[in-house]
Amino acid sequence: MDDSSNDARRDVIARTARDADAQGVVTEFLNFIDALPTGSTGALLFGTPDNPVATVLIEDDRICWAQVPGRTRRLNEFLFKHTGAALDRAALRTLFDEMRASAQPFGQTLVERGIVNADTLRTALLEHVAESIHAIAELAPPTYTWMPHRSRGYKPQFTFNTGEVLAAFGSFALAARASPIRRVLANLASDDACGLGFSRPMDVSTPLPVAWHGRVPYTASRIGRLGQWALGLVDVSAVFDDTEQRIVMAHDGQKTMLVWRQNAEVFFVLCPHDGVGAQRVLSRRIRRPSEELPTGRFRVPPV
Amino acid sequence: MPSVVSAGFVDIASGRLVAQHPVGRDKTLETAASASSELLARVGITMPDTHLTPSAVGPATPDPGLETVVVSEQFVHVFRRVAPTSNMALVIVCKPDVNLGMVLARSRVLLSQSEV
Repeated sequence: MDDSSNDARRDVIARTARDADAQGVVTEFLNFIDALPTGSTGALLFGTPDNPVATVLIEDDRICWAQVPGRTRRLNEFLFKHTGAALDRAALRTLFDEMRASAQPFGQTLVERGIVNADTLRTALLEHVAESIHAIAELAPPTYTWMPHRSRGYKPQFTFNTGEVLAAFGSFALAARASPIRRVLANLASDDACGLGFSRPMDVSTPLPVAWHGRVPYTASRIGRLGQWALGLVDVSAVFDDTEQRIVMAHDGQKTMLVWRQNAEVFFVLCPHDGVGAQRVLSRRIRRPSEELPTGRFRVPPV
Repeated sequence: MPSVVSAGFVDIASGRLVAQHPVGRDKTLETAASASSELLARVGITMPDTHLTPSAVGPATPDPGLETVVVSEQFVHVFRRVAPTSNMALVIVCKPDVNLGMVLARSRVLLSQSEV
């Protein structure tokens, strides 16, 4: 992408989301981010570019921050949730106002000063982004404009790929379903495996990732294809056994993927080639197939 | 092998059995053969998209849909392409108490030595 401001203006792209449901809107603008040129940095402005109602900041293709009116101090709340009484609320608010006034990244300063650890900040930031994009989805149909710029300042460890954000959005929007799915993945998958749990809300054809295990190394568009592939695989395998006891294991010569369905959820676990991780999932799943998961039809709820 | 019910070679594109053991009509094997196209081809479409970092799983150049196993209450079905790019697959139907590791190991060795 050209860095000069005149040429950058030519890269401004305006879109109006075609989807009406929250999942569709979020998926659409995350796919839009995935389709930007490699190394893109800028802001996705929702509403009119001159008077945006919400902003998503991107740095090197990764989401750094999502800003929605009325939710400015929500990051503090998420930090309090994860640290309990260990933080001085008044001091935190003062520091937040200072950082805001000087346009410095608030979270990174907290880590640099030893107020919170990096993992806690990362978790809180991801929750904040997820909640914010859930609110953005309710602006339906949101019009958004891509405005490239050159300013940088976020550390990559505190930024997120679009796949992580999509899964965090699903986890936030369907929190009651996400918790037991996360437990299933944690019980079955080994530490070096990557696991995703998908739910399929009513009237939506694409499964939504709502829980994950390990790293999520995929973009949102890849996760969408992965979810549809996993769903297709469990559907096809129903010709052998239409109960939920079946599990499909696919191997490509380098790694093994396991897919199964339980209630409205589809699980995907990718294991490195050693076979031990896959064997662990297989044996544990067969031995303990009746983990409690929510039943019934559901939708992504509004804000 | 104990617990192996039947096995056959299937043309993936058409789902047609071209050889089988034991010889004779076997509905379970025919059903498996007809699904082989979907179970192996679908993996081929998606696998290239599912790469992890090189340190985790090696180079991201996977073979398309090499092997798929469906484990269910009544049977274990094994589908394996004769070669990574082949349109022919070995289908094995086993009882659920089969030693899956042994079946996979023997089928891989057999196919690596075969001229199908």
